[in-house]
Amino acid sequence: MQVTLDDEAGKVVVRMSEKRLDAAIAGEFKDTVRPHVAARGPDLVLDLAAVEFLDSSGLGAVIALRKALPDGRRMALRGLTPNVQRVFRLTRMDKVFDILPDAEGSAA
Amino acid sequence: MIAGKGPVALDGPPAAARPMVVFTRSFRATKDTVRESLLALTDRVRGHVGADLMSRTELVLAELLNNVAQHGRPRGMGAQPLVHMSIVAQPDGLACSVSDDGGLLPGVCLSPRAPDPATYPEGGFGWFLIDHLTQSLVYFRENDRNFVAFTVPVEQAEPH
Repeated sequence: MQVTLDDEAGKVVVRMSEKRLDAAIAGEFKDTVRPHVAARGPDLVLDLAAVEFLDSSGLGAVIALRKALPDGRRMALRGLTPNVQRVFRLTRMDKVFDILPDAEGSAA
Repeated sequence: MIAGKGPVALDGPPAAARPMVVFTRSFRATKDTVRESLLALTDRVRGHVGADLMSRTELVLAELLNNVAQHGRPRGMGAQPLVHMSIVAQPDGLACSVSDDGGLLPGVCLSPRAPDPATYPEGGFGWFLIDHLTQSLVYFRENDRNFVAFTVPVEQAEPH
């Protein structure tokens, strides 16, 4: 599984480079990224522009990362593709996440 | 092959002239075989239906099959449930039927209500998504098998 971390204007960008964030990979994704979000540090952006398919297990992993943040540290999402957006919208999780508009996102 | 978005692909030649698009597969349900099966399904059907319909169907089947893979058989109680699934392209959508020899799914897997987003729930969305994205959903249990059948419609009415 490929996940990269970059510094971008003082924020940590976590970029998921796999096309699928599904049940087969959700646990590994969560375990890989959690140490980077659970400690104190700069705010984060989770870039999902490469992800074409997300199921509820993948959604659960993203939510788990959000819950792992220490007080005062924030994590926004960006680059949501239409299929990923749909899952966030239907579950209304789009109401509780900061989702950056496309203009601020990376090249999708 | 009809490229592009939108549910136009099921129009076209009269039914008699159109090849029947069917996908069937049997497998032991694990997270990995579910993924493989969905990839094989989209490979087979993608060129014949709109991209949006394909994606909604893939999501619904992922939720259903992962429930079976994760909850259909208690850990250490024998082989993973054996799933048979069949998907047929119809004029009104993709008609899907799935059966498995796993146990009764726990109630939380079958709750049609979405959890409250404010509690940051990490699960419990599966059956809500299935219920929301399908029509003519039937579920029954017979001879120690679960049977689920539904249609994912060509046109999806968005909420709100």
